[in-house]
Amino acid sequence: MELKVLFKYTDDPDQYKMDTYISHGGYKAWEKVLKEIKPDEVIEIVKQSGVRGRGGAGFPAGVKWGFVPKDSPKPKYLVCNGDESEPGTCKDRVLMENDPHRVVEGMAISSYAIGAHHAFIYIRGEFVFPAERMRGAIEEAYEKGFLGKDILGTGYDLEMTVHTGGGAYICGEETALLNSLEGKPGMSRIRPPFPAIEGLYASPTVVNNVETLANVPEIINRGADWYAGMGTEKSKGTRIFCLSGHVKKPGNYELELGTPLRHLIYDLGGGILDDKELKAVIPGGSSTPVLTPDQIDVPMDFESVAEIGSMLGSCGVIVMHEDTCMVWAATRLAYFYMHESCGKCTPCRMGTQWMYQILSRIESGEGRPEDMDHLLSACDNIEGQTLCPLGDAAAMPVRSFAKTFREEFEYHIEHKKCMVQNSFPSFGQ
Amino acid sequence: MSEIKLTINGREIVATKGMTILDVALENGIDIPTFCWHPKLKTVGACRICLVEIEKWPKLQVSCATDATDGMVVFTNSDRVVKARQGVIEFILLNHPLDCPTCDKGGECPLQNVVYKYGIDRARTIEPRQRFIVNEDSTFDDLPIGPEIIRNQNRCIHCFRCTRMVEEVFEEDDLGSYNRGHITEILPPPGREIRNLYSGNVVEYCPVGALTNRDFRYKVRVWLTEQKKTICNFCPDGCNLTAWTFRDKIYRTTSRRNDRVDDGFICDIGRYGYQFVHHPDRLTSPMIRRGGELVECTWDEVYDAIICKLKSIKEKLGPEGVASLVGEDCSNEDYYVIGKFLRSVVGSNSIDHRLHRKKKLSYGEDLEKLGIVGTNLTIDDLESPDLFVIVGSDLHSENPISALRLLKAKRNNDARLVLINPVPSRLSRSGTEYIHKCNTEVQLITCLARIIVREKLYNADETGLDDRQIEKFLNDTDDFTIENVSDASGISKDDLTLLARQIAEAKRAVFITGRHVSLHYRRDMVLTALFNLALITNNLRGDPKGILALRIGSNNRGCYLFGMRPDRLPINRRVDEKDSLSSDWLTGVSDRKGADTIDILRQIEESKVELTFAVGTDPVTSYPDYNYICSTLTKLDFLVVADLYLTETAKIADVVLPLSSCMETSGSFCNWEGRVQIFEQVVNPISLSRPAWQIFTDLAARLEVEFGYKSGEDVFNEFAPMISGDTKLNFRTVPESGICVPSATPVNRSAGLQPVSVRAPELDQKHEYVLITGNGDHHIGRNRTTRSESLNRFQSEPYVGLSERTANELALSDGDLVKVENDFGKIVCVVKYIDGLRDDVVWIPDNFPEISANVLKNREIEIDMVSLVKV
Amino acid sequence: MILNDETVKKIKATVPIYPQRRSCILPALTLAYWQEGHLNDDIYREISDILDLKTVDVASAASFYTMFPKAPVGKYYIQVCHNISCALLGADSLIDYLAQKLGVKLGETTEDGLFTVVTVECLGSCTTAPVMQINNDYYENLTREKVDQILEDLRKQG
Repeated sequence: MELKVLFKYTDDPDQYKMDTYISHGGYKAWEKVLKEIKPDEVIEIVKQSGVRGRGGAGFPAGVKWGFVPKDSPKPKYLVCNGDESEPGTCKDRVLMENDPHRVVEGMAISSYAIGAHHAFIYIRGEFVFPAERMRGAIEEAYEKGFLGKDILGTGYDLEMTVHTGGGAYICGEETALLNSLEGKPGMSRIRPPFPAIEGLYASPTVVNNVETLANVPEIINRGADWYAGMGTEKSKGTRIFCLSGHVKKPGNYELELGTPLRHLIYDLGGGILDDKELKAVIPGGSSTPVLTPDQIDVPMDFESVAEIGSMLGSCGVIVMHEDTCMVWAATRLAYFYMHESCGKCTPCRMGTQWMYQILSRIESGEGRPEDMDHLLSACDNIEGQTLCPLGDAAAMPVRSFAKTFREEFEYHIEHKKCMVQNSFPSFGQ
Repeated sequence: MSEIKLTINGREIVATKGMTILDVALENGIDIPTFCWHPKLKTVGACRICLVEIEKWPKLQVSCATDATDGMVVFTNSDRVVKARQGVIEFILLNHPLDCPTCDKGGECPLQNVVYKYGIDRARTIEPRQRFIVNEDSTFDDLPIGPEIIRNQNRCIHCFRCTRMVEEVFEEDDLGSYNRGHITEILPPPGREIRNLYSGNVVEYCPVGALTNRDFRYKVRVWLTEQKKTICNFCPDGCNLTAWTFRDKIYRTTSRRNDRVDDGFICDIGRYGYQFVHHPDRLTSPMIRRGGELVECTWDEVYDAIICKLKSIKEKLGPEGVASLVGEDCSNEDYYVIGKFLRSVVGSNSIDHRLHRKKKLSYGEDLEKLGIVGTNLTIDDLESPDLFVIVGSDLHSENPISALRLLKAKRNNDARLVLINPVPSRLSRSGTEYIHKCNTEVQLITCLARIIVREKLYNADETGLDDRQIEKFLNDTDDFTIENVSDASGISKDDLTLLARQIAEAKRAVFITGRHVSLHYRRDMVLTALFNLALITNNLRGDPKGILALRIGSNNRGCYLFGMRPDRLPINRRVDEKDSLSSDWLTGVSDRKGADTIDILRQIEESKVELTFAVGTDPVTSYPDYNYICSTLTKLDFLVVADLYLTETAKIADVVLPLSSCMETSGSFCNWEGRVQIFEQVVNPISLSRPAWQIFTDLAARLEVEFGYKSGEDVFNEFAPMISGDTKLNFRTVPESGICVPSATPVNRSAGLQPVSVRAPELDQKHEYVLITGNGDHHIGRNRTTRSESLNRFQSEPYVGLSERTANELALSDGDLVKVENDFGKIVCVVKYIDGLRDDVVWIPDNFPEISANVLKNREIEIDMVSLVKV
Repeated sequence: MILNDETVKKIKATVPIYPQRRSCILPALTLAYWQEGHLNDDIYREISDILDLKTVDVASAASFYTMFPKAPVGKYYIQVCHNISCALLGADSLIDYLAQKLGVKLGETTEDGLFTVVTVECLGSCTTAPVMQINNDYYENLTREKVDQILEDLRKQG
């Protein structure tokens, strides 16, 4: 069952406009926060709600806000991460396009909570239209006095800026994003120092995903308990699942956390394309280990998915049917990570290159028996040993494909061809 | 600082909180390999080779970026760690070519060493290594990216030390990384080269052979070389160097990191300058003038000729008939022996090294008493101020490595740099530069002091300045109103106010003066004005003090220390204080007043001096009056020149002695701090050359005085107790930090505010442009750097610098020939536009043999003025 | 000068927005790309002059970000997603179809200078695969008919 909190009004074609947003209760939370709630109390409410980061890592948002030092003489910054680039994921785009004021309001509230007077939203460069919508919303918010100097006469100032990227998946990683926002190549930074202590311009900074922040206004309006009442014990609220690949009705579905994957694929997604057999599902964006058909009864919450060896990640659910070559799929993903590695740390820069080299050899029929061991050993030497999570993100899918579908890889090596010849709906049909 | 205890490989270690695991390990002799980490660069934790295992931590951690904490249990060599390191190595070797046999880094390559130690016995990678192809016909893929630097991107392991260093430490902009992932490459920005003054460091710090330099590549295998400790003597910074030799030839010099002095970085002049040693221009034999020509002869012949003349002139004119001019790049040992010879053997006190100034060679007594003439500052002290006010200096070219300390202060404590200069300087990119009309320094500085006083931005209690003093100061300086000074200096009133406030707000400011002030016609007054400003802003408190007056000449401080002035003996004692020094020869020093440079030259004119030694100096091209110095020196009965090359002065000498360079003897130099540092003999003297100390020891012996020195070391051992106060100290026991000889009288704050005045300079009214000289790119002084092939790759041609506007007014473009002339002489040279140069200034780099700016100078005229004519 | 007055004006307008000047690099590169359709060394130098920043910083940043072509491309820069979700729904055949229909290989520009086809990584529109971006606009749920129509419309616009 869909449970629409964030998507409540996204189908309304006028929701992006200030008046419509306000008619739907917009900016009430912002006004309430400014006039009635102290910053610390806002952090406490968000902590109580249990809302966790929607970018992929799932870190509790309120706790993250609490890390910002109160006594720092430096300015503080809020950065909203709209660099949505994880293959299989396209939820933030919908929010930014169709309900940008909700994002603005969420950003404003969290800025207030952490004591920031300048908030940035970093949007991937390809998202020209979503960025336009965000700019429009921010402009309207300034006009209405929801942003700028002395907001609603409370003395609180907040500037908000849209910053667009230039095509780099790595900029979704928070420290790379901050470097990029500073005008540098988007290379990750060593932690510590964590962004909460030394982030943007070496000042305390909170980086939150678009979807995370979009939840904040409703948490304020309806209370932490209401929010915590949705989902499971440790995975509260709803999430937007992006269903793509071989399903009949791909799309973004907002579901209560803990909804079984099967319900999403078969009931909401209408089942497998051409009524073929399901072969594999990537549950949380391309970085997460692949699941097999016997695993799809898993409730989609952080803990349950982790229990079966994968991750909820960014909730990008990619469905593959029986006619999909797993070597091909792994190669395609390995190429992506090689292309997107920033090149700063050795295991990621070289490991992604080597994995792709091995996989593309196997894929093109030049595999050697020892390649499987080398591939898995490369994964070993990447995972846990890179500067930022991109290394893990690159190794996890390769490892899971190679382990879960090992016989397909071995067949490829031995017979120099696919065990399952890709047969996709040729576009145009 | 609190103490922590941790265990590394089962060993309990006490460390200080805030240290990283790597810091602790290295301090305790535990080996952890590193590539990207460097103590002088910000930690990036990128190469991952320094991974260690920490008990109770699930993942391995990079030791360079993980703080050691109390109770931590660390393993640097567990199976897990070794396996992880092998993994990193395997990744690096995926693309790194195994071309060690033809790689210049071989034998000193951190990657080679780490692979040797941790490497796996077989390669699992079969993919062809990635190449960054430069030329399809070659597999070497070497790409020149600067005058000296060659890049081989295939070998790069992406530690980014080079680009980080260029950006962080040098604040330069000529190297960057491009693209991303495994195709990331290192290149200068589009259309440019890496050619900053520190560029050679990127080669030294590259952990593989990705960056090499033309100077050294493919010349000699490093394991065949011998290494000798030496000290750079191109500028007064005194960087520590290692000279690498093979079969009595120097192949390169590299930094020998000394954190007190150079922080492990050297400039390109120090790196490539050594090439002057083996230059074919070196004098190979003594020469004597016969039939009007200089002809080669033996040392015996030349010594006989000198002794014969010496005796006859002494008989005729007394000992004062003999004088000596010395250069500022000789060793302390040279100075000591020359002084000893001239004063105690010949009996003349007429000796001087000051050949750059026209008048007032000595600081006035008033100024000496204020205690701002010498310095008690050390290079280290330049890390703590939060404001530097640089007056009249292109610090970057005059003291390149000291300049880096200012940038370090900027990096570490947000220090600001303010430059007040008559011509633009390179450091302006790292601070704010105000270019003023020439010779308005006194007004400018005093005006700043007045603004601070008038805005009550000074602390009366801390500075001890009472209202009466302040009142008097304001009255005495009432000509220096902001309006008047703004008009005179060309710096806007707003800028003056802003600048004054900045200086007043600084917690601790240091005022640094350089070349332009040391050559200034009113040097003392500029320094007095600075004294006032520093006093008012309370920057003279404590020790060290806040004014640093840097001078030209690499061993200028050694000249002071070893009595190269008529009135001073070693350790700067006055001649009448000679008894306070416990050395035998000093008792024989003449009590008669000696002559300084100005007097020596006058006495030559008057035939009171007929024999002059010129040691390591070329007055014909450097004395600020070409016509006068030529006519004077040719009047001499006997001119003895000892130098490395046949200089312009040597060409008019009666005898020429081939001098050995500092690489060919042992000895010591004194840097600007007063730090005496020793150097070893690196190669044997070139041809028949001899070091100056030996020449004067030989001459003394021929006058039957045995000095008994067999080496520079012997000379050092004689004066070491004198300068250190330690009777046991000798060449072998000098600490790595050298011997610091404080020379300054303590600063006299209680002297109060000093009167200042301005006096219009004597100048030649007929010409409209002020002539200012300085250093060209990658050059310092004359004669030596222009004999380094590498340095000449950066700049080898002289030019005349003009503002674009001035050039355009004369219908001159970049590269056109221009004649610079006045009543005294002329120079014809190509024009180069200089950004930011004032329209009324002509700037000439005075390093190149083709032209020498002193032909345009006259010693009677304080400000050199010239006219420009299009050729 | 390559950058026109309007672009320069817009670049300058970004300066007061950011606490540090260097942050203006990406916005400036984006504006330059929108004007010129690609970036090059001369543009980096112009931007560094306009913003008073080091050329090396501008060039280095530009080279890192792959959205900006570094050499001239067609008036319509067709970027086809070939990542997993699009590939599962026939992105490869879409690419082949485009190449064949336009008579160019990947990365090449049609002779009339109108079209360049390249592949790109995930465009963040996975639920509407297959997807392509032409200049700033997304085209989703592509079919053969849609592509024909799009190309025809663009050709008409010239």
